[in-house]
Amino acid sequence: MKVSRLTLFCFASTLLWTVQASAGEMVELSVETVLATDSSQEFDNRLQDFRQQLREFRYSSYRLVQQERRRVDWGKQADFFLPGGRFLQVVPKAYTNDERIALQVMLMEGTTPIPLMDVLLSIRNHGTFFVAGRKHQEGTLIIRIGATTESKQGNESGLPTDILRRE
Amino acid sequence: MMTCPRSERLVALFHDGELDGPLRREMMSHIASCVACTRELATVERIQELVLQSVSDQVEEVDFSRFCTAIESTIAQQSPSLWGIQLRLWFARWKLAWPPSMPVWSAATIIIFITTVFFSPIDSPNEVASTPGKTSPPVVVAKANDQAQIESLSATTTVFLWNEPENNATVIWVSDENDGGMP
Repeated sequence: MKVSRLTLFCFASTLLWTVQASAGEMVELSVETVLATDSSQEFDNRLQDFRQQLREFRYSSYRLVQQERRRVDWGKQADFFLPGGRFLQVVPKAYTNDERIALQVMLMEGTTPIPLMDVLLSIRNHGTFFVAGRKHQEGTLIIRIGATTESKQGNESGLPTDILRRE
Repeated sequence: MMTCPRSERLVALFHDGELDGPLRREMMSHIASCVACTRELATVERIQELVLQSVSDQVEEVDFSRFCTAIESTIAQQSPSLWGIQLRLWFARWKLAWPPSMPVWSAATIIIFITTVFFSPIDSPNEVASTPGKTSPPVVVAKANDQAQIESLSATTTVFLWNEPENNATVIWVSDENDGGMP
């Protein structure tokens, strides 16, 4: 059985389009974990794009210890294991009317099921925020959490999309 | 047990410095010669010492290491800006000098409303404002707030929250039990 090149091209294009379309409805979460100390003057070159923001923490040394990106559906949780037996759970909740991504973020530590911190917030698309303060190896962990999406319709949480809207 | 009618009320007042001059002098000479009142005064002094000791012990147990940083953080989040304070002071002074009356306010409101409606350009709801016929680039008014907006936050440890307007950075500082101090 011969398959013409045109048929093969059409099939490949359809497949690619389907994959891209389904990927576009997801949210890409990024978690970068930095160890900040005062023990040296080292600055990790991989952190150049948010060097200025890190300087506000007033440590002398910053080193990227972990970096992870994950694509998840709206309303589905993404689990990130952090240094020191910590655990970060991020759930993209909704894309709000003012073009922001609503996230639920929980930081857990040890074996206790109660999170150390549980926050519901919104950041702009392609935006980031920091969770910091936990000690690790003579230093402090600074975690940058970001979210990006091409989808403008995600609201699997059942929340109204303007729930987080503020002036 | 010896008792003295003066020891019931006056000794405590004497100890607290509540008696005026003549009565205080009289009480002082009385205590010097009265065993019951001397004993009562000693008891009152001992009670005060114990109370002070107890309070001091409890105060020492309180951890004040985060006290100042917590206050600074709260003030930074809640206190109005210098401009806000000056505006309020100016408004208060203006209000004293020009007491408001309902007709004046109504007239002012109507004038402002009419002026706004008739003289403001009608723009599209988006954020790009441009003048037709001119070659200058459109003025883009930033609407997006890059900082995170917190809807709810709960924690089992001390959490500080601050925004860095210059860098558009929002930081949630989850204090560690061992240290807890912010940089």
